[in-house]
Amino acid sequence: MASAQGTGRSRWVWVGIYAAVMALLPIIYSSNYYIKVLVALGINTIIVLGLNLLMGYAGQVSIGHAAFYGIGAYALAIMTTKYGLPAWLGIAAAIIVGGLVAYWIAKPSLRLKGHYLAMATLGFAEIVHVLFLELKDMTGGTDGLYGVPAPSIAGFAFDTPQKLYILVWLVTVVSLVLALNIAHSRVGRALRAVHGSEIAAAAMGVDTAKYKIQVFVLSAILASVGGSLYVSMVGYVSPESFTLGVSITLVAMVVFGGMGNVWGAIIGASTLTILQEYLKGYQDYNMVIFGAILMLAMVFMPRGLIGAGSEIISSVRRRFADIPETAGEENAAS
Amino acid sequence: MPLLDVENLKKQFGGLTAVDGISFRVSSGQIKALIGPNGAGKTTAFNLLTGIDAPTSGRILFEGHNIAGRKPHEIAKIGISRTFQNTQIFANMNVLENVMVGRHARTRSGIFKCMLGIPSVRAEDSESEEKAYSLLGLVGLQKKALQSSDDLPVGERHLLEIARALAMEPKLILLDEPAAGLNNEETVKLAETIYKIRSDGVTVLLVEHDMGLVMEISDEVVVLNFGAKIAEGPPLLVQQDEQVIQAYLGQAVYNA
Repeated sequence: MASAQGTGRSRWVWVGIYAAVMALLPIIYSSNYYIKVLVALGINTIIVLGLNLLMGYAGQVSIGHAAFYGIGAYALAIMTTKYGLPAWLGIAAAIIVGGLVAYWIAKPSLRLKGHYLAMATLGFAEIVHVLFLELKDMTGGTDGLYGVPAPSIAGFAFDTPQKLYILVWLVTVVSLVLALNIAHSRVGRALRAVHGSEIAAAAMGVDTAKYKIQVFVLSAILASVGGSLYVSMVGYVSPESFTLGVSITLVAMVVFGGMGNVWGAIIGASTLTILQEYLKGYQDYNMVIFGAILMLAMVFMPRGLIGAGSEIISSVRRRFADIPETAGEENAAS
Repeated sequence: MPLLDVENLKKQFGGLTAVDGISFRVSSGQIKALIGPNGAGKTTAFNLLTGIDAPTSGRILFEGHNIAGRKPHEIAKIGISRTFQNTQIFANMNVLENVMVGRHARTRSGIFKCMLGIPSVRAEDSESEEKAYSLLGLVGLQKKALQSSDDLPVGERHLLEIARALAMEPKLILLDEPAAGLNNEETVKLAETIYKIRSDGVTVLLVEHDMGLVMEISDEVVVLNFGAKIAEGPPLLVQQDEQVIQAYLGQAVYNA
């Protein structure tokens, strides 16, 4: 696992490659449609990086992250359309509100384990969805809120898909760096320890409750930031964008890419975003095909794309490096 | 003042009294064993000492402070570490990372510092790594440092847990059946390791079924039966105790 994530310097080489590829893609695929897909891909990546820290590292399942995605989107939309505040304040509000709500939810519910926690997050997301629908004065009910302005920094407005993509690209790369830093740190190991054995983690001095809350809040903040970027792109927000289906797709991205591996989040979010977009052409059948692909993937690649990939690489290595490797082992033994 | 002073410790689970008012002391630098037939309350006692369960009544004085009912991570920070009878390794990490988790109680970087990857975090991390490597050397697992811990056989899992427990530089280490799954040769090595742990200034309290090992390495033995203490003293005296022989009748104690 350590080798699949790269160690030390090679990790940052991969970050550089990823950042460069993501910077080049909009130049190659420059139509507005492709840029919008890339924006969605970046937003999903940001959210899934956080959700993977929560699920893959700390082992806490949330099937309610669409709620935080929605909270971020509505925070920005309400601040700008109802109060006339600048969009960057709206993004700040998204971070603060998303984080506070997550803390408030995490404190009681992270005492629950396994399926019970998943059920609690599911219930929470349904409540939030109902609030988006029913708090009509604030949220506009089923109609949603229109005319959300594009964010601007120091007079530079991110008011076209191309310009907004720059912002999304930046946040994606920063999120990747932050996630990698956490993953390969004392806190990252503590999170994985909580996943591996909560009782042993505590015996080693890990305040398990504290770390579970912290990572839950962090993942919720990333989802809220994703939501505020989403509403910046489309300019309006309505409850149907934050359904259970969205929460489940986010979980699918984590699992499909490979849990407990930061690069798995990148791969899962990227492949499934593109796949979903591609399948839109099949209209009524798209969810059937999407579901079938996920099922087959889980049967044949239980550790996700990154797990399957590293298994293939190591088996190829074993086959081709058969002689030197056994010789090395004999040397070590003697 | 003894390092650990257990006074009238009692734990009831519903109607069952698992630990029934036991008292004993562990002095600094001792190797002390807690023995008794299955179900005598040994592991429950360990769980009370490390905060996994809260005692129904009684006191646990560690360096004079009552730690009964404190949380496990707090108890770890004040210097009590442990291993588990049913090993609790972190199967999702490699061997080295398992031991590095043991450094948690002695390191500080929080989530913000870690997120930003500032130099002090890296310095702390490489120190943890160095320390972890040397502890793997102590238990003979250095060559397996980068292997998945899930691939280790049972005996080596116990050794990995010992290295992990030592990583936090405890004052007292609780070993719960460390010899389980070890062959004779490995058990001899384990005894050496335990002596080495003591000579590094760590006090040892162990639960163990291998009576040969217990009688050889322990300075003192506490015998539990049905949750109550029935004997305490040097191994040779305890072995001749009438009640102990009765509790163990037909068991391995005669082979020692």
